[in-house]
Amino acid sequence: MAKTVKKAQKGTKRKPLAAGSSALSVAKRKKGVVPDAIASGKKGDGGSLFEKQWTKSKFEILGRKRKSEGRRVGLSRSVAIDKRKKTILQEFQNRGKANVFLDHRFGEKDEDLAEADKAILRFQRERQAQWQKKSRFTLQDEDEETILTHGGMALSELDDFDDNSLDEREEDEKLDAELVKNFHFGGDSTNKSVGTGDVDEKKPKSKKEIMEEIIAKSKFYKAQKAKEKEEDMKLKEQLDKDFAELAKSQALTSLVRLKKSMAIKSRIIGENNEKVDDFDKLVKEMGMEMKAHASDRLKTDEEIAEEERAQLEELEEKRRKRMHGVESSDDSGSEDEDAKQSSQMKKRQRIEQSGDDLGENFVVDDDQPKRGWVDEVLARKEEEEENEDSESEGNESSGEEDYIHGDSIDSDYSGDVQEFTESDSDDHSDKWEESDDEELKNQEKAQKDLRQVDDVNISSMEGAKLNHSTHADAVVDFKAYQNSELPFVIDAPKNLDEFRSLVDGRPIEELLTAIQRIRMCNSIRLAAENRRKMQVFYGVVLQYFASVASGVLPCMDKLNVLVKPLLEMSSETPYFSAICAREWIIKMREQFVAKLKDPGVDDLWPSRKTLALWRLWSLTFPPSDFRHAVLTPCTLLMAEHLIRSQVKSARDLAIGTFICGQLLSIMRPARRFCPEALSFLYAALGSALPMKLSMSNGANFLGCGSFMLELVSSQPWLRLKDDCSNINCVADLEFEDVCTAAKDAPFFNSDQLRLSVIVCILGTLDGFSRIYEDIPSYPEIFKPFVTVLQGLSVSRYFPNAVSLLINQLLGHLKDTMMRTESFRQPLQMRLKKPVPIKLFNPKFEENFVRGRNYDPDKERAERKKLNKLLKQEAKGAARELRKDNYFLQIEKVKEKEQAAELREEEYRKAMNFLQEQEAAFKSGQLGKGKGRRRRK
Amino acid sequence: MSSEEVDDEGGVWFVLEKASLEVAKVGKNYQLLNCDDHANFLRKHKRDPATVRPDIVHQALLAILDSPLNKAGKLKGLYVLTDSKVLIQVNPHIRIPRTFKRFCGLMVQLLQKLSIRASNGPEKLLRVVKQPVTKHLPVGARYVGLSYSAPKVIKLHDYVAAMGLKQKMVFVVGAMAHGKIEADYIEDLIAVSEYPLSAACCIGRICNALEQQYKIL
Repeated sequence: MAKTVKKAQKGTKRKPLAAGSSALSVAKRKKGVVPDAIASGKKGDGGSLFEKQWTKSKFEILGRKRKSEGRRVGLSRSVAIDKRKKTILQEFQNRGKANVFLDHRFGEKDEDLAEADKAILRFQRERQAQWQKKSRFTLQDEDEETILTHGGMALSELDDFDDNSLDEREEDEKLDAELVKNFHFGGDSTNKSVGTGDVDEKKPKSKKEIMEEIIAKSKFYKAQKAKEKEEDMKLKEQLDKDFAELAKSQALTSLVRLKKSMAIKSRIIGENNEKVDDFDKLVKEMGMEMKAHASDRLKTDEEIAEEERAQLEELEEKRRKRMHGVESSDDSGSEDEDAKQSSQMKKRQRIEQSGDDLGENFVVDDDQPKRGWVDEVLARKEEEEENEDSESEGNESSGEEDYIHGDSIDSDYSGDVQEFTESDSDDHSDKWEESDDEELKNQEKAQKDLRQVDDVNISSMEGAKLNHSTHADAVVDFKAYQNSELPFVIDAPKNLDEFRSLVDGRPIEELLTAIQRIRMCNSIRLAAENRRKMQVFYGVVLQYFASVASGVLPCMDKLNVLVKPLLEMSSETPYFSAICAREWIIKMREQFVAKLKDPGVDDLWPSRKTLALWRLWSLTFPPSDFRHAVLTPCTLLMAEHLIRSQVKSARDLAIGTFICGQLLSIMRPARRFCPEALSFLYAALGSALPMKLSMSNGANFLGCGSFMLELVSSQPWLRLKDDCSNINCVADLEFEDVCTAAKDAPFFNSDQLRLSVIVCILGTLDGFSRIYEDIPSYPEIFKPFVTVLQGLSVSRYFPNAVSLLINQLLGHLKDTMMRTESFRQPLQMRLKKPVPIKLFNPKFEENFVRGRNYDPDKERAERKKLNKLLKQEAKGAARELRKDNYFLQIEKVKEKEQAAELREEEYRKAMNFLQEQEAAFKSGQLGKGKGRRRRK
Repeated sequence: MSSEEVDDEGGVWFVLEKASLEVAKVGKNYQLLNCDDHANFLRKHKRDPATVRPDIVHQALLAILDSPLNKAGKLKGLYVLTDSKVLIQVNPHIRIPRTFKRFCGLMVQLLQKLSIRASNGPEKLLRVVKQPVTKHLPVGARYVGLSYSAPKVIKLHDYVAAMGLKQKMVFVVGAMAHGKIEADYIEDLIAVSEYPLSAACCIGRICNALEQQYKIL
C-alpha cells in the first residue's frame, strides 16, 4: 500500500509542473487528506509514514539498529530537487547567455516595500556595517578625534622644556604640590631636576661592599680570639709551674693532709713521665703483630711426581753410600722414622699385594724395610686418608678385602666357572685372611730380626714356609739374587732383553716393585718424551707377560702380579695398548688360518699364551661396548677357534670349555648372544652321554649342525668309564694343570678330569641360560640342552653332587622355557580395522565481522575492496546523472509547455481579434459596443 | 562389515528442533547469545536468559557426530532448526569445534554468511537451507519424535529392532531447555526413559541402540 501511496505522491508532485494551476488545487487537496489518514495509524516521530522508507527484515537481530529504518524519502527527494534548482537549473537557464546581471541593492527585489521603508532599511544596514568588527579599528574622521591630556592640558600642548608652568600657583599649596609632583605618578618630569640636591651622599652601599666589610670584621674577631687563648695558655703554664714548685716545697704539705699531698705529688710526677695504659699496650702489640699469610697452594700432579722422583733419587744416593760402607751419621737417628715408615708401608704393602695377588700369595719378606722407603711415598696419600678415617683398621681392611675379592674373581685364571668360583673364592678369602694375618706377623717379626740379628735368610725362610703356596724356584731365585738390590731410579727398558736382564731371577715382589719404580721414574706427567718411553715399556711388559705365559713352567703368580700394572699402564696409554692388542690379534688370526690350511698341524687349539692374552684383554677393555676395536675381533677369534678346531682329546675339550667361560664373561655385561659357545657346549655335553643315548648312535638330537658334532663329539670324550658315584667331591679344573701337563698325560684320560670338565660345562651353561633369560627364543635355544641333560640325568655313574647339579640345571631350563612360552601369543590374522568417514574442519574466523575480507592475501583483499568502492561510486555517479537528466527533462518540458501556452495565448488573441473583425465586417458595423448595441 | 550390504537402504537422520542459536549485536560485534555471558543483555531486551541455551546444541551435535554410528557412515543427514526458524543443514563429515567458544564463533559466522566451507576439503559443511525440513528428509522414512511427555515409554533396542535394518529413520530431538517439540511431520512420539533426559544423553541412547542394531563396535 505504501508503494501505491508513494506513486500517487510522485504523481501529485509532478503534476503541478506538468499541468497548470487547475491540477495544483487537486494536489493540495490530496496533501491535506492523506497525511491525516496515516497520522491516525502512527504518530509521534514527525512526518508522515508515506514519506518514510521501510525495508522488511526477515530476522530481528537484538541490539542492532538499522540505518535505513524510517528514512524520510520524500524529504530527501525534495531536498535534492531544491539543490538542483539552485545549481543545475540556473546553469540551464543561463545556457544561452554570455553574462548575468546581479542586483545587489537592499530590498530592491522586494516589491512590497514602500520607498520610505526602503530608505530606512538602507540606513540600518549602513549603521550595522559601521559597528561590525571589521570597522572597529579603522581610523575615524578628524573632527571626532579624542585628545590625551595631562593636568588639564593636551599632551601636545605641553612643552618638555617649559619649566614655569606650575610656579604661578599659590605658596601654601606649593609644598604639597611638590610632594605630589615628585612622587605621584612617578614624579613630574619637568620639575625633577629642581628638587634633588644632595641625595648622592646617602647612597646605599652596594652588596659587594657589605660583604667585604663582614669578612674583614670576622677576620678581626678570629685574630682577637686566638690572641686571648694564647694568653690564657701562657697564664696556665705559669700557674702549673708555680704550683709544682709550691708542692715541692714544704709549704703545701704543711697546709694539706698527707694523703692528698701524696696524690698531688704522684700526679705531678705522672704527668711528667708518660703513663702506660693497658689499652695502649694492646694497640701497639696488635700493630706489631704478624698478619696472616697465604698458605702454600696445592701441588699439581706434576710437582708431586717431581718430588717423588727427587726423594727416590735421594734414597738411591743413600743406598749407594751404604753399599760402599760410608755410614751416614743420621742413619741411627732415622730409626724412628723407619719404624713409622714401616708401619705405613705395611698397610700399603697389603693393599698392593691384595690388589694383584689372586689368592695364592707368595710373599718374600726379606726386603720389607727397604721397599718400605719406596712405598712410603706412594703410601702417603692413602696413609693420610686412613688417618682421617677414625675407623678401626680391621674394618677397613675387611672392606678392602671385600673389594679385592671381586677383583680376584674377575681375574681368576684357573678357568673355573663362576659357579665354582664362588665357593672357590670363599676358600680363597679364608686362606687370604689367614695368610694376611700371618704376613703381618711375619713382617713385624722380620723387622725385629733385621734389627736384632741381621740375619735375613732365616726370617725370609720362615715367611716362605708360612705362606702356603711357596714356589721352589722363587726361593732359589731369592737366594741367588739377594745380594744385588734393586736400584731406586730405573730408566725404562727399551726392549724385552733389557727388562729381562733387570728382573730375571728376582722374586715376584721385586718384579712388581721394579715395574712400579720404572713407572714412577718415567711418569708421563714428568716429561713429554716419557709417554713414548712408557708406550715402549708397555709393549715390553706385555711381551714379558706373554713370554711368562708361554714359558715352560708358567708362573701363575707372576702373571697375576703383572696384570695390575698392565691394566694401569693401558689406562695411561689407551690408544697404544689398543693398537698393540689389535696387532697381536691379527697375528693370531693369521697363524690360526695358516694352521687350518696346513694338514700336518695337529693341534689347532690356542696356546697358553693366547689364552692368557685373551683373558688380559677382556679385563683391559670394556666388554659391553657394542663395537670395540679390540674386543670385537678378539671375541670373533675366540668363537672361530671354538667352531673350527677339532677336538682330539679331553684336554682340548677342557680348553674349549675355558674359552666358553671367557666368552661368557665377555658376553655377560651386554647380554650378547654367542651361538658358537652354545654349540660347543652342546656338542661337548653330547660326548658325555652314555652309550645307548649317544648322538653318533643316530639319536635325533636337535640344535647344532652335524659338523659341530663331528668336530667335537666324534668320540665320547667325556663318557665316564667307571662308576664314580662314590666320589664325594669333584675337583675344580685348574688352568695351570690343564695347560702345563703334557698332552698325553694320563691325567687327561681320567674320570676325575672328565667330571671336572662336565661340572665346568654345566656351570658355563647355567651362566648362559641366566643371561639369555629374557630372549624370546629362549626355548628354541635351550631345548637341545634339555634332551642332552635328560640323557645325562639317567646315567648312574655320576656322583651325587654332579647329578644334583644336572637336575637343578634341567629344572631351571625347563622352568624358564615354560615361562617364556607362556608369554607367547598364538599366530593370528591381522585385524582389519574399519575405516571411519573422513572428517573436515570447518573454516571460520574467531571474531567474524561481516563485510571484512578474510583473504590471507592482503594485496588481493585490498584490490577487491578498491574495486568494490569504485563500482559503488560509479553506480552513485550514474544515479546522480540519471536524476539530473530527469530533472532537466522536466524543466525542458516545463519550458516547452510555457512557450506553447504563450503561443496559444497569442494565437487566441489574434483569433479573437480576427473573429471580431470578421463579425464586425459581416454585420457591417465597426467597433464593439456599437455593434452589440446595434444588434440588440 | 554387516553395514556394507544394507548401505543403500538403511540410514539415520537427525533433526534438532528448537535449538536456541541466535546472533545479537552485543556492543560492537555480533555474538551468539548464551545465558552465561549475556544474561544482562537479554534482560535488557526482555528475554528470559534461561531459554537461551546454545550449549545444548553443541553437546547434542558432539554426541551425534562423535558417535561410532557416524564414524561408520550410518548417519545420513543432520538438521538443526532454530528458535527463529532458521534451518541449518549439517554435513556428517564436519568436525565440530570441541570448545564452546569456538562453536559460538562458528555459529556466528554461519548465521551471517549462511554457509561454512571446509578448511581441508571442497564441501560446504554447514549451510542455511530453505524450510520446511521435510523437503530435505527422505521419502518413506519413519519420523520418530522424542519427548519425555510422550504417552509411551519404550525400550529403544526393541523399537529399533522392530523397524529392521532397511528402515530409514528420522529422529527428532529437542535441543531446548524447556518445553516440547512441535513438529507436525512426526509420526511417532516416544519416550526412551522414565526420566527427563538431556538432549545429548537421549542422542547417546539412540546412537547406542542403532549401533547395536547395525553391529557397529
